[in-house]
Amino acid sequence: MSRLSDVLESLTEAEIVTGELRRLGEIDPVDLSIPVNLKAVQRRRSDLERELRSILSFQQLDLIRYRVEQFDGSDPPAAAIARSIDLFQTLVTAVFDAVRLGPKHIHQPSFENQQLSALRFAHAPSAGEAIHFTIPNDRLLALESEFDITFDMVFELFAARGKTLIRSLAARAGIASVTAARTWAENSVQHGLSTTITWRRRDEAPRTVSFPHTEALLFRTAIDAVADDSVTARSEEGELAAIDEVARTFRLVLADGTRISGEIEDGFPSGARWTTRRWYLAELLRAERISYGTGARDVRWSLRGLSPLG
Amino acid sequence: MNAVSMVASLTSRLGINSRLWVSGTFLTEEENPDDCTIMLVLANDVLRGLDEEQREFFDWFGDVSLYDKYGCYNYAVVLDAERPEHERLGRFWFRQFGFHAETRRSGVAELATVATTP
Repeated sequence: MSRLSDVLESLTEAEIVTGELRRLGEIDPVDLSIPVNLKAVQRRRSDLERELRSILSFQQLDLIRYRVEQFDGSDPPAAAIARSIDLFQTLVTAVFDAVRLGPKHIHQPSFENQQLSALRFAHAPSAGEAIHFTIPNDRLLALESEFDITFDMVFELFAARGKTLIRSLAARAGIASVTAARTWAENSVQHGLSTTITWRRRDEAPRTVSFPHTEALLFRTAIDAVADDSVTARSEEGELAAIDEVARTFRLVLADGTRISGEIEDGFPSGARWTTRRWYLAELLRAERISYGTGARDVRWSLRGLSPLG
Repeated sequence: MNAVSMVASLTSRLGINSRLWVSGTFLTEEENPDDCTIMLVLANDVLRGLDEEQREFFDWFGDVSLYDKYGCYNYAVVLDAERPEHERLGRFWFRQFGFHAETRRSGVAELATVATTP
């Protein structure tokens, strides 16, 4: 067992003993021994905290404390915790990848970025305990490291509830990161998980985000409400595969082989004679919707006009 | 070493019936040991019977960290088999001294100070 693991285990135990002594003190407020022992355990906690900071600083590690509880205080199923950690890792990697290589629409981090952003167990947890992870974070004298920016963004994302803020974060962290955060929140909602994440870097005060399952529901709903809609006019050469003026639908095969289909616009000239298997210059409208919740890109085409080619 | 001597001589001079638990690389063959822990352990009835001067010293030892000056962690505790929290606290402090889950061995030196009547 490493000294880091030892210190984390001792800190957890000191926290429990502190709680037990406080309860005893409430039962017998005039007892002389309990305040003495409480003070000693609290001093021990503070010394262990000092040692923890020193280890993290020396080994250039950040520490992430990840605590998952069921909303009713019971122990959550192991699979739900494992999934929660897995999805948190996906989120961290998605943001880290965006910091290094630019924001992405779909989560496809490079192998190198997956390796670099992998959280490692600092201390093996037992039931009901918080889980501790470490991650190497090279210290830079003046600038924030890529991990500093990554975790800043992850915490910013967890706090975002409005469309404007979520869009602004997506511009930096990528829609893939927002979708990953939504999937993480969905797992918390499904299993009724309340999660507390504390990030401790260098010898700075730790930052904590608490996510009761009700908050996870709000977060998920906020992301689900965000979508980007755009409409662009396009002129494309293509072979008319089918047209039905009664059902008001069409199908075209574009010059690059792409098959598109959609509806015919109201202003489309009716009663004209169109020949399938012939090439036309098609006037089209391309409507696109990108949903932040799923990352899905929904494209709809509509036909405004056709001009024969050749 | 200075810290241990200082605390041992003060408890002796003040006539406090106590035990001093000392641990750390201070107890090993390591040259220039750089860490040690000193715990001043009292029984419950001794705590209740401390006079003003003894209590002042005991409180000082519990309040002031010797780490920056002596490189020593120091704690003042009451461990008494008659008390309900005894087992829990004993287990906690033994772990802090490196005794862990029956798989690890460690060592603690105990210095007992017994008050004598002049």
